[in-house]
Amino acid sequence: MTTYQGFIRPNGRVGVRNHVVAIANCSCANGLINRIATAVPEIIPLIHTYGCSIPGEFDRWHRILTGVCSNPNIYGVILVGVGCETYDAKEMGAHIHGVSGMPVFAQIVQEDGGCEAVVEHCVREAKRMLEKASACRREEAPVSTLVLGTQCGGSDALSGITANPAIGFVSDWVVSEGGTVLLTEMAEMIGTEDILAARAVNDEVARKIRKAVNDEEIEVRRWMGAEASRIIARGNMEGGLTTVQEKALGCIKKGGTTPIVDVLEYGEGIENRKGLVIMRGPGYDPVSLTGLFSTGAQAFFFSTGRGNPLGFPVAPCIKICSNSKTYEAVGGGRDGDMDINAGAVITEGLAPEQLGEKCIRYLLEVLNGKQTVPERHGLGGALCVFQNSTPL
Amino acid sequence: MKRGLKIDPLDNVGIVLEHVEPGDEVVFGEEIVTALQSIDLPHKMALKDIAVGESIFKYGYTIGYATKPIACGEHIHVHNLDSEKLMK
Repeated sequence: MTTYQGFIRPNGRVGVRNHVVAIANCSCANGLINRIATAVPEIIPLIHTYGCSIPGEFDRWHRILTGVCSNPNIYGVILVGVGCETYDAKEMGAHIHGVSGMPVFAQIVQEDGGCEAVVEHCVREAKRMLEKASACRREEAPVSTLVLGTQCGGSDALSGITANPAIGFVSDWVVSEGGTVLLTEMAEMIGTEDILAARAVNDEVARKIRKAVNDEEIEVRRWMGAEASRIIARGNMEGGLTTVQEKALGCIKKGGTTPIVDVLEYGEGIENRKGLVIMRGPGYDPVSLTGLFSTGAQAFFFSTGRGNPLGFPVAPCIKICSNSKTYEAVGGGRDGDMDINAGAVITEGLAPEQLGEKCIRYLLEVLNGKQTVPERHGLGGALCVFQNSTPL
Repeated sequence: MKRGLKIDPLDNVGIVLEHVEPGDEVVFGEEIVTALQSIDLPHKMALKDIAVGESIFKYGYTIGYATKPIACGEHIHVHNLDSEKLMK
């Protein structure tokens, strides 16, 4: 049994980071979140564009706000509502506390004295929470408590040959340790449904996999018409990828070789599932990472061929580059944008197993607190939530 | 000799692992194919002649079909490969 040093939370889940976050219950409160973060720079502001007036998205937003704020990488939450939005911020806060047991301080502008008073209350509470958070100590936890999110962004034709198989090697190891791995990006599974369904633990999961890929394919056709097979970005094409099926065959390498145990909705809680799990969601990286984090991922392995710099605000995101040319182009080993160069398999004759072992060692260091490049460089970005309806 | 990669025995395309020019010989395992065009890493090269409509295999699975006749050694990309008819 392999272990790492993490933060054991009141509900038994284990964080690999110990952040205090400020988040708006509805995006009308984003200005206050920025004010709080300016006054207390040690907290992480989670800026987003959701929370009200999108009737088709209310359930999803409730699920994502709960999932994100309950992730064990977070010590405590400052939640700010305006008062007139869909969900009551204080009820949301009580719900998040009920799920996670973590401290939640909720304020409502229209109840608690207006913006200036609310900022003042939140700044005071944020400082108090940070003090308590700093008293938390890392403790030994088994890798079976890990939920690893996998992602590929800005892929090229080497992603599926070098970097994604290396992530697959890590995925197989995490599963062998009793942990959980999330595979997502449904558009990048089009054409691979037979391969994936054959790996399902039972017929019901096989049906879920086929339905999830089929639904995505219909959606792609609806939006792209005759160009449906080209649902890949310009950079992917310059990188030698031609069709969505080709990209997908490379994408699914991230999931390794173990059985697929379930298919979850976007951001749906992982609960006690162990093994390889598919989360439904788009290929668009920032949206995908938010869903994986909400589902429960404490860390990400993210491959790129073109050099996508994206990280996540409150989780380590290990960037693994598929080729040495891009690795060097974005700074190489001179404090560049990538954590690991999988291109060494081609240019330096590194054996794929050696690369895989290196990735596992790196992951363990990161779980123990080593900062990934996106964390060190502050490349977390915003909280981007999947949206399939129109704001009204 | 330039380096190429054929991922699966079923494949009728390979990937060039370095830039190739017309006339360059490229090694794909036990096969040696002469490049007909300039191809950048890591783009695809035909390892045999492929007729219009014929499936193109990579990783041992079809990634689409030829939209034009493709000669062994040619560059394969959006100009001669599509998978639109495979889509729902």
